[in-house]
Amino acid sequence: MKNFPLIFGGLIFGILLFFVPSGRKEAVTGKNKRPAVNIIECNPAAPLLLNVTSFKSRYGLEPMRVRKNIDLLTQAEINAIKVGVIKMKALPYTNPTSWTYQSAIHGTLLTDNLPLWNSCHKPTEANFFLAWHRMFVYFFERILRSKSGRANLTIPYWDYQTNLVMHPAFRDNSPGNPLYNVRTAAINAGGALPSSIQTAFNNSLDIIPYYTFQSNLNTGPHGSVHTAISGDMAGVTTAAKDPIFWVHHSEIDRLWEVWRSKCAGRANPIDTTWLNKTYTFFDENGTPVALKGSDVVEISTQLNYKYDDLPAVITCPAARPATVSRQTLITKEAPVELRGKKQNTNFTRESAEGLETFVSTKHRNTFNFANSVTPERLTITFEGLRIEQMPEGVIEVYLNLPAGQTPVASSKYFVGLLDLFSAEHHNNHYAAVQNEDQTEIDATKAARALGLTVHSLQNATLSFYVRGISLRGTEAPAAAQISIRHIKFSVDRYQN
Amino acid sequence: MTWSLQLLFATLLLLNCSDTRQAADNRVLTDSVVLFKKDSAFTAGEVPALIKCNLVKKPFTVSTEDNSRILLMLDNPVLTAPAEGVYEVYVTGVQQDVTMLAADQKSFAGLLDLYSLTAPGVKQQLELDITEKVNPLFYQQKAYPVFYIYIRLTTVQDANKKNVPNPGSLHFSSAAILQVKN
Repeated sequence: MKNFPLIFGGLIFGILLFFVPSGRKEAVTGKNKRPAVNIIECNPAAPLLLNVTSFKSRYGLEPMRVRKNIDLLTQAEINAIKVGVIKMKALPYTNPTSWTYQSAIHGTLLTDNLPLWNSCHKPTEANFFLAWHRMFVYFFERILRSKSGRANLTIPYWDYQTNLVMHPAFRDNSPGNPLYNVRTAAINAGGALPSSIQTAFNNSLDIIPYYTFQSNLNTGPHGSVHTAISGDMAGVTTAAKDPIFWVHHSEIDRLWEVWRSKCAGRANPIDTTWLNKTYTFFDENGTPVALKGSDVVEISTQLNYKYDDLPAVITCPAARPATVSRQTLITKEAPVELRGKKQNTNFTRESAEGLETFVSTKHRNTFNFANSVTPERLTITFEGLRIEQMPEGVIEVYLNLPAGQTPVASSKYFVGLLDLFSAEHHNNHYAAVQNEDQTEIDATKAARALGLTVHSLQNATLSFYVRGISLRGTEAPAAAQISIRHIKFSVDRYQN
Repeated sequence: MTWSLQLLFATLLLLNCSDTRQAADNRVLTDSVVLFKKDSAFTAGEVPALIKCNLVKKPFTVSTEDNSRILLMLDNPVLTAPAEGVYEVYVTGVQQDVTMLAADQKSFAGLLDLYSLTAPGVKQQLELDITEKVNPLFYQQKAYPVFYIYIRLTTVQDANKKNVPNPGSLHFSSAAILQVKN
């Protein structure tokens, strides 16, 4: 019983702890008691102490400013950025418009815990990755512009699709260059980021649902640029200290707009959680300003900037679902076996009943490929596809390839790839595995190039060619073993 | 009296921790199936890690409608040196010559995000959605599917376009492939 006061005190503490609102538990329990889960200490109480003003209409009418590709900046524009950075770096770190304070909003190892510090990359707020960074870069840009004295200054973007080498202004280690930072030695020496970053960015842009796109962009190419550049950029708590951080995130912001401009169903979120999510930042006067997700969906009208390679306002045509009807023209009934490098098959012995039906009902022996109202497409369907040996390469399909002619994908005979791996449609030359038994290729382009008529399908020949992977100009040996139960030519008729 | 108080105290603290954990994790997967598990540690670097995935069960149908996905989960990643490059992931249906792996091929599944792991308090686990890479393999392979995962460090290039050597590597304690429905 001599421990009773200690135990009783613990009990009271425990009871108090249990009833503390969950948002404050971290502060009470401290680091040592923190469970090993996705919680970030990000000073949740501090912003509430600020006298925050609303973003809407705060800045009145401002001119439209253009964010440019950094490779197109003039020396005067680079110099203005340097002036702004030097002035920000000269301010005490407790000033919200200082370089250190701004970078600490993203993340910092400093322990002062000033308002808004360590606001970024909360695991529970991954859905706001793009919106938060858009706001962050926007307010940083206002501060930098103000310090630079150049009224139209914007943060340029580093277009990874056109240049994997960092701009020289950020690599120049002359004394006093405020844009220089210690990074991967090769990068600062003019080396290039790995090209897989380009592929990963492209793959992200192909994704249509917003949150999936955002997640893919964030956790793939975005983060990999950070770690490839290394130095301060490699860590969330130091990244924004490196001046290249802002150029990188200007590009991430631009890619959000590039994604939108690709339309085809791509659209910003419309859920109220996202639209009403509010964050606070400091503007060029050191004033805390709050803005919502709904305040940053249209950059030109709401934030007064655009990108030099994109329209100010992105508009997508309303989706018009196309209906399609399919009519089978001719079927290769006997199985086709591809064993090895290449295989030809023709349709000369097959029933022409489908062809005759089409011609007699449509009163034409031609395809309406160019019809703008009800366009037709020629499709080749491979049914009952079975792979016994996957090729280390691709299987190219050719239509009416003359005997003895070398198969070349750039020729008019090339139809597309019998893609056994991906379920994605990339373009008209690309097949997609749609279900267990069936793969299709759109043969319209080849059919147009060859001037195919409906009746001529009876004499059609398909050639399969296994193309090995090319490494430094040399094609590696490749072979496949596949069987196809039926091959069909069909005409798809679209009705918009 | 002492024991009962200690028990009550411990219970209160335990409940408190559980509550915090649940509130923090907003990525609860409502339905998940372990398709493959590798319990032993492995290392990736310029010499790739190769994981042969013999699935323990046939996955159920993956469709975009039900939002089910196939995820590669990599546990406790530890870098021995700054990456100064990117960790690329490839998924192939057959074992390949690693020198043939390239990001412009269909087997390229994506990049690992080591950067996000540096945020304070983040769970040390990497996740990569490989649905689109493995789905066709599931359709093509009739029995228990088998495929291969390569994880490779590709470093930045120097001014002469040569990859810069990097002695670093990335260690994992284990890996798993899950099929999940959100």
